[in-house]
Amino acid sequence: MTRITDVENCLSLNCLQLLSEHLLKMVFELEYKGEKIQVHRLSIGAQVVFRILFSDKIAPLVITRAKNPNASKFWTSIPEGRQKEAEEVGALISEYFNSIA
Amino acid sequence: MCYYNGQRVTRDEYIRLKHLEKLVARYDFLNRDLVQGFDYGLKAVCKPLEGKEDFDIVEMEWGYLPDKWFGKPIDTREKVERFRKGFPSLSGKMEPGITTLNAMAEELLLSGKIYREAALQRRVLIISTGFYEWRHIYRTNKKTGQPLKTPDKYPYFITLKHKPYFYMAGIWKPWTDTVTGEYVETCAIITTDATAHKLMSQVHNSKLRMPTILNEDLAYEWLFGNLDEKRILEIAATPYPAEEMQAWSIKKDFRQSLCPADPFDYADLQPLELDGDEGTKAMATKPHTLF
Repeated sequence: MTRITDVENCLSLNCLQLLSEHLLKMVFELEYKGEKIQVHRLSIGAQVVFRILFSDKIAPLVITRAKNPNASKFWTSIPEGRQKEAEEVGALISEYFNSIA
Repeated sequence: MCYYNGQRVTRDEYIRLKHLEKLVARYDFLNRDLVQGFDYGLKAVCKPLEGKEDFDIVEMEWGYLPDKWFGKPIDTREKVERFRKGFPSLSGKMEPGITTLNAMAEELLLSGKIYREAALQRRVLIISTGFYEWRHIYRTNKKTGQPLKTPDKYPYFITLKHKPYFYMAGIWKPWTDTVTGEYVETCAIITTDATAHKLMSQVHNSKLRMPTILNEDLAYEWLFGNLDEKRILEIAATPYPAEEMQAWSIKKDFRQSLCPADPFDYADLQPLELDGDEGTKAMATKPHTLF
């Protein structure tokens, strides 16, 4: 899963790059189900989360990477309850980071 | 074994995610569109993580609180109120409050100044989507031909072109109420001279000051750099290029508005004098809130 490793590198990237390339990586737009979504990368308690704003009336979504017992990672929503969206939008974020890595 | 969102996770991971939920729940403050200084409200701030080139976004109370004022501790909310808003002295005369929303770059490191230690050791970035200042216009007295003593005041919203948000240089200090145990982190925004600034000298023409807005490189240096005093003062005094900023007039009651940054034209207000119409074009849409 080389691609995922790339994403992990991006997620744990020190903020030098995040600041200097700031707008590109801290806030970016993606397309989800034909609509634009705005993605904000946040470090909260030294942990990276992504907050997603939708263009319609869908409530903002916060997602992060979590680890299963086999130490492989998956996207999940914070709080629980929106796993499907977390996986779908998370995949887009992974793709985005891989494209600019 | 535990499950989070239907996914199997270890107990440690489950605890981490549950803790993260609590942290995330506290971040609704980032939705705010307007922070008013004299309400001493909370601001979104990038605070460096110790020993790392990384930061947390936290909220801090805008209005830097020193430990002491004239030798007396400011260690309760009551004393904070007196410090900020003033109080009647024994003679009955009102002693004015001290405003610590902003710290002047030129005075930041002066010996004895309340900001010195923070500027050397506790620098932060205040996250902003834009800020508000009042432009003073002195009408002419029709009889005397002289400018009136009391200006008409017009509020402006100032922001950066093409940036949904940006960083202002700041400093912070922890504060604890010794009676209630309340702990907050308070901050001040660094301001710099705007006398020669083409945009801000016209907008904030009464005080000729502007916040120190930092580009990404300077923001990084301010937050993580091992800076000597000379460099701290250099960065603190850096004016952001006027050509990369924009400003437009807004309603005088913007503080009560749901969309405080919406452009509003005044028939009697002369436009700002800038090159072409750069810097004054109102955005067609409401500026971004932070999140």
